[in-house]
Amino acid sequence: MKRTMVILSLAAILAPATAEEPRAPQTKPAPLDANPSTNTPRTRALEVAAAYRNQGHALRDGFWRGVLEKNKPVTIAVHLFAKNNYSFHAAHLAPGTMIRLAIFDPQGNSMGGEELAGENSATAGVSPTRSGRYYVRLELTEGDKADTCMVYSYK
Amino acid sequence: MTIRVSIAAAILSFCVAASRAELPKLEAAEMNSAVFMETMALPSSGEFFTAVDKQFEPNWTKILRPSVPVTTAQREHLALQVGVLLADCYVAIEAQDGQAAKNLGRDILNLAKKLSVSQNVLARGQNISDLADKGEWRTLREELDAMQNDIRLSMQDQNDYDLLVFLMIGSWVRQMEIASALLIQNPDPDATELLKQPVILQHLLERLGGMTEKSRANPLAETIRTRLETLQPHMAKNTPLADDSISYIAATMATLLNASAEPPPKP
Repeated sequence: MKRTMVILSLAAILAPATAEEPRAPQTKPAPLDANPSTNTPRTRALEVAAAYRNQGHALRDGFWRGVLEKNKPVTIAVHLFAKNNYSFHAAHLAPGTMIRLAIFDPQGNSMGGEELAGENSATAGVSPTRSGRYYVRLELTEGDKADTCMVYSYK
Repeated sequence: MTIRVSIAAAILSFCVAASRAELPKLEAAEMNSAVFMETMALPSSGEFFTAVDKQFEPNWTKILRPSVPVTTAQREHLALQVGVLLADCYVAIEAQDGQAAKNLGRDILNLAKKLSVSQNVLARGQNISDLADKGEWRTLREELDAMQNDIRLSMQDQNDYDLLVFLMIGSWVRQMEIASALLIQNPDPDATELLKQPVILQHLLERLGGMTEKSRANPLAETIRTRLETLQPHMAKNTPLADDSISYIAATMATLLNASAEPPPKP
């Protein structure tokens, strides 16, 4: 599993423009569509997530975006269902900065699953055995500040 | 190629696979103050039905139903019906019924036009039709999620925040109706977790309570609020839902869906 996640993330990093399946043409740019010609934390997060799309994950259109600061983690509530597989992907563009993404169960316990931190991104996957409210925590492990975006996918 | 390998080696050196077992438990204050965004904290119908599919492996074609004609021009009813239709379109995707997905997408657009939000979702409607023709179900699921968000944004742009509440409730009620009916047919204590969504129920009730006085006075809003409030004791239980609770939830959802399709009483 760990090896698979490393390979998937590397694939996403190496071929960001080609990993995502071509989407149907938009006659009008929709507000939440990623524009591949721009380099933003959101497009970066979607690039990382693209490798999981190729594994059958569907991407949610919603996302969180904000500025992560040193020693100020951000915790985001999500509702996950048992038997689904989820992957959370966060990315930023700040050089010399690293982030960590961790998932906690409804009681606040670390899920202890797989997580992966790259130079500008972090990914964590979970397959909950219980349905309910979970928490995703983003924090800086290196650097002082980073404009960050998180998306997630499921299958 | 050489450059790619070099990049891979460089990136690999940055990659850290770590166990989160050492992470301390989240404190209650941190959980209570967690960011709650509707576009992330409220699961899409697609996510819900994916879990339902794994749990029950239902015959989705049998769950599909013809669209209920909307006989009212009341915007709250229309918004609620858009939510219901969005959930039904996910059912069509699960059933891999392209024609039904196209029909439902068209119905959503027709209602959206009446709510003056169609310009923002017209492109999505065409995409949904194209993807349904091609049978690209995963991408269709994503496109539908994007369409729902576009409708949401359009309503926000028009300051129609209250309509958004009806939209969310419409989708949620239809999801719960389907899952409770499946649980009645296939009793499974563990699977009752699918119906236990107390935080989401509380959020929807708070959104109803936060609507304008005019919207709150709408008979449909009052019906929804009073009915949803009765679900709270059932969803608050820490044990699997009993059969009577499941039946109650199913009946409540069916009642709400019927109320949403009925024309409002004449003043």
